[in-house]
Amino acid sequence: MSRRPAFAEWLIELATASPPPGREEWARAMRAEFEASETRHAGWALGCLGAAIGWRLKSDWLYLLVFVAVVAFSGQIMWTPFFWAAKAHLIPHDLIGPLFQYGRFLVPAGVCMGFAGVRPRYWALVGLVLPLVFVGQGVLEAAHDFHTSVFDVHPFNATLEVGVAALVGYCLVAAMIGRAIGSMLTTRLPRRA
Amino acid sequence: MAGLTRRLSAQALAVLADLALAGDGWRYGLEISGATGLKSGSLYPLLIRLSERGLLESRWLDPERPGRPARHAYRITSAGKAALREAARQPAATLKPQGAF
Repeated sequence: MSRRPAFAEWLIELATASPPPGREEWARAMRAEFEASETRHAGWALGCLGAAIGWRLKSDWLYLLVFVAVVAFSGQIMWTPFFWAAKAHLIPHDLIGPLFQYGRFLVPAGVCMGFAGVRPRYWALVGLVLPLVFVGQGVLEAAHDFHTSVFDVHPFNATLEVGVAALVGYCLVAAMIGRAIGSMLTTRLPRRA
Repeated sequence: MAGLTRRLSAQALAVLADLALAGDGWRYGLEISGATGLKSGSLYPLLIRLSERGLLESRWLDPERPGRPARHAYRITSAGKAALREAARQPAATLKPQGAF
């Protein structure tokens, strides 16, 4: 019995975890060949991962495109509705300040929850990438507009490291809640054939 | 059939040729990969396409030794053989492995 290379095992696990609809059997087929081979070569597992990424891109390209667009323009997308609502006097004047203050925490969490709910398998990606880009944009804007040092930015009124960790944790929890809701709805409302 | 065959890549033809060599026998992914030189990242998307076109069929075979996993195996269909014959008639066709016919 040959020793199982842990890295190759990890790669094949990643490749065959939650394949898109219609590819479950093929994912099992790739894994079965990996298990059947004496060497359990990492190259085979890496190829399987490449194939699985291709399936995902083919299956979820629109979702991923929208996600990338939201992440890339997160600053504008998240604040524009508040801005126009305030300008149109849809929001009482004394609520504008608190909305902007708390909105910066609520909106990323809401967006994470929404994206994770639509595609539960991407919850970790959503919960990690969105807050990091969001904070990164905020830090760059603050540095650009106010000529402040990156390390003078204090998300959550904490130090940069603690603030970023808090925001990422907060968004990951929101994404997990979104995943749970999405999975529950998927179970209750199975896709029509 | 001619239109279908024209769209088959050299890699797809190589897989079909390897399956044709096995006749009515079943071939595993690792065996096809070894014979054609295709890596898993190219092989499985190709097998899916060929299967969806009805040029090959697949099934799970019981393990040869106890304690080993069941394996997915592949066999060429009559449509696959016809596609291969059609491709062989075209001068530009390059089929691997050599000696399939």
